[in-house]
Amino acid sequence: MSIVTVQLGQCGNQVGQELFDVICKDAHDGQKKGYNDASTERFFHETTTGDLSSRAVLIDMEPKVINHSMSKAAKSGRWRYGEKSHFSQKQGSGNNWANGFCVHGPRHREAMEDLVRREVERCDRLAGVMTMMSVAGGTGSGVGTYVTQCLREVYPNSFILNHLTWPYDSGEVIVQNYNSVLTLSHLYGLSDAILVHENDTVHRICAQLLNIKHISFGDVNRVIAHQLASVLQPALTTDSYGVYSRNPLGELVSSLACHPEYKLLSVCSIPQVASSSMAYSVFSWPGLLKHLRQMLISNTKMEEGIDWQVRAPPAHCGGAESARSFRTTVFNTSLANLLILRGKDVFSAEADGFQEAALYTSWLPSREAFSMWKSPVSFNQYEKSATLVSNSQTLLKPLDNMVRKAWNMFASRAYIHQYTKFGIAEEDFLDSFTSLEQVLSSYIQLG
Amino acid sequence: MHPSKRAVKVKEVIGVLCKLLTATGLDSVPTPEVFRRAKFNCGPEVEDPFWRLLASVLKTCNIISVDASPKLPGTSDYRKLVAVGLWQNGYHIDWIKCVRERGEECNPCSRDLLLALGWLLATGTLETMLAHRAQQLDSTWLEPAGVTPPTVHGAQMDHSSLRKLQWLIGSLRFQRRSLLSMQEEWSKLMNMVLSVCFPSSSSSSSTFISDSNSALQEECVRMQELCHLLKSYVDWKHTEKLFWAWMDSVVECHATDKREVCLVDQDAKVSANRSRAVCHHGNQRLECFNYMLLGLLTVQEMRGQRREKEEPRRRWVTEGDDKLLAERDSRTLPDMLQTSSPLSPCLSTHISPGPLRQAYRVRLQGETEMPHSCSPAEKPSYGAVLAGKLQASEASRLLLLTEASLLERKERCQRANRMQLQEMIGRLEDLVLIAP
Repeated sequence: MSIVTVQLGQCGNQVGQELFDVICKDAHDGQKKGYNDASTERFFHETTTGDLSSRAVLIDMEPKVINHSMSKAAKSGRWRYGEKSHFSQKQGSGNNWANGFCVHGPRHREAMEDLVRREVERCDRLAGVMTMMSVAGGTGSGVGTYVTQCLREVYPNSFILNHLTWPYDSGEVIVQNYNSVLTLSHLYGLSDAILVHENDTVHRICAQLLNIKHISFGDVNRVIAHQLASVLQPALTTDSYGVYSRNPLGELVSSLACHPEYKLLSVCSIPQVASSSMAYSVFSWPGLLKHLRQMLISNTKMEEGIDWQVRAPPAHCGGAESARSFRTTVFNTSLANLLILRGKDVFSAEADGFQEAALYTSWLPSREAFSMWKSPVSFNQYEKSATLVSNSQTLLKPLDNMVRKAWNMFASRAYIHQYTKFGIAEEDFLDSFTSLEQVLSSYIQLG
Repeated sequence: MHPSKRAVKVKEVIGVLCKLLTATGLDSVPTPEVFRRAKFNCGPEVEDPFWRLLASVLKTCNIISVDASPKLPGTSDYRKLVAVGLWQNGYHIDWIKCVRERGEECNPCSRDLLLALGWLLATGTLETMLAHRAQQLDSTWLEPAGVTPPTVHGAQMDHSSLRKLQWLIGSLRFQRRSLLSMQEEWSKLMNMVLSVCFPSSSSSSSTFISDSNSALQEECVRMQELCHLLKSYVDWKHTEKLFWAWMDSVVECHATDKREVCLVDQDAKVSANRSRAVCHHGNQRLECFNYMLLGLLTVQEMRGQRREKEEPRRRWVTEGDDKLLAERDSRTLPDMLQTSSPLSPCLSTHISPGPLRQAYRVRLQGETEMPHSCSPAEKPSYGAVLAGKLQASEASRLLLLTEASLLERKERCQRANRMQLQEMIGRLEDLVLIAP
């Protein structure tokens, strides 16, 4: 079972390159053969010369980033991108979602679909397609949304996971909130699940956990790649019966995002320490899981500054009562959680703390809401590591901020003409706002 | 389509059906030519294969017991068993009842058997046999587990239940996708296995696969048979329409014959011999026409009878007819039909131009019209029958006469109806009728 990755725009292409790098390094650094083979089948295919070529398609409206990513991959000596698996143009989308979605996407649809089709045909069995993009710019968000729409049409029975990088709250692009709102509202109807990384959170991890002084996009991308790879690398799942799962995307979305109103997934992973500190760190499963659980319920996105005061509501307080009592605190209610444990003595790890009914919404029993994958192979040089993919209220606040800021701009009609000139009407904006308000409302009602 | 081309096409379609029936594991499938001849009732050499085929279908579908079935199709028990099977499958037709009760005395013709087969195919036995055979061939076949649908307790669809339901629906959708993907992979792998095992043709496979791999070989053969079976079914589904159109024509033939038999031999019992149905030849069209005329007038009489019950007297009924009408009022339709025949044991030409009512009693009668159920003592002599034969010119004259009488009568009916309508309109004072 293989995953075809579509990297879109500057962010998608940079994060994608880092992701393949981490996966390849992890799978081939003295790991077990079964794990190695499963990982290779999932993300790479062997060329006639015996090299590993990633099952990826690179799309951008400017050639610079694609060329850089391809040369970086080739330089690694472990893997490379397919020679003809990329598509680029001379002119970008100008950070305008409408330009990407209405102009560049339709204009180059055939070429982009053809690239994806070629990669799909190389797979013995397609596990699904994963698109990687940011929501702030024009190509990643606009063309990315358009490509997702095409993929849904062409592969109606395949799993589609969208990996999105949300921009810094302080702002990278003036119209980033418009682009984000338009992207998210459209993807909500197309994607099976939307896995989100927030630049702000990752930046804090770089600064506080990894002790990086001058944080670059490369550092941020590496953290994202690490977390993403810890989800996507082979693992033993409940449905895989003692072998590495062959349906990673299917099992991921089946565990977490069966409900059409709840598709936003967040990831957090521990431990994450600077490589210089690795030698002096000792981790135990109970300790890691205790931290991770507290991070989940207190909505702390990294293993630093965890609020230990937050407690799960008592068992007898259910539903609305629970929500009222604990809304004042920062208790984070989950719809579903997937815990992925990798490393030494993994089978001795107990995750009872994640199976408490109080952690979850009242209408989904915890036995259905909680899943766990395990792999005895240590991941990316961490002897033990735990990753939590969560469909919870974690993203409620950043999403609310995003929608609020976009609405404020829209109320004053700021930059709207930049979108209407490419064919996005004010009604389209209103539809998008309505759709995201519904998402916000659904997540609020979880508690 | 040109008739000859259509005939060829029909034969091909029947061939497809025969192929499919053979692929489902039936051991006695007649050739397409036998099917074709069965439509025209071509005697016992066509009937026997159909008895066997029907028995085989009923056995495969477990409608009749395999152990209970006698070997020879000609025997009474064999036919009774098939009749019982057809009856159980909902085919409730006269000859089935007759065979069940009287066994060998009843002798349904091959067309009857063909129609019975058509019934079986139309009621889904083909699909049952297909599933049965596929189950035998496919080692990976799993009986669907008995899944009880979850019940909604108290039928309370509150907010939480609805959300849970939406989640479950989503979960099922994802499961379906995963299964589809697995099925695709399974097909690809199976294709690879088959292409390795049978690189060019199946004939070379026996040399390629050693005896030690007999299990694999058997599996491959089974898979090929399964593919063949499914392909046959797909071919059948593509051409099925034409087969049923042809079956319609069989039904039409059957219906036409039945009408004729009704006229030819009112008193005939079910055990009447088949030659009657076979030997129409030249008289067939005349008989059809005769039937049509009689039918037409019978309908008219029935209508008249109804009206007469409402209004005993009508202006358009002549005085001479009154007696006849009065007589008829007390009789049923079969009675009326019976009264027509005594007038003409072989050819009722006692037509008098005056009483029009007798015009429709003119009937052409060939040798087939012999009352077969009569005892030899009651049978009219062959000479008398021959004497009753009609010359073509005479028949033509009589037909013309009948036609003229009918037209005249039609006109009178129309006139009477018109007058009646006017009377009715006259009575409806408040109603204004606007001509269209």
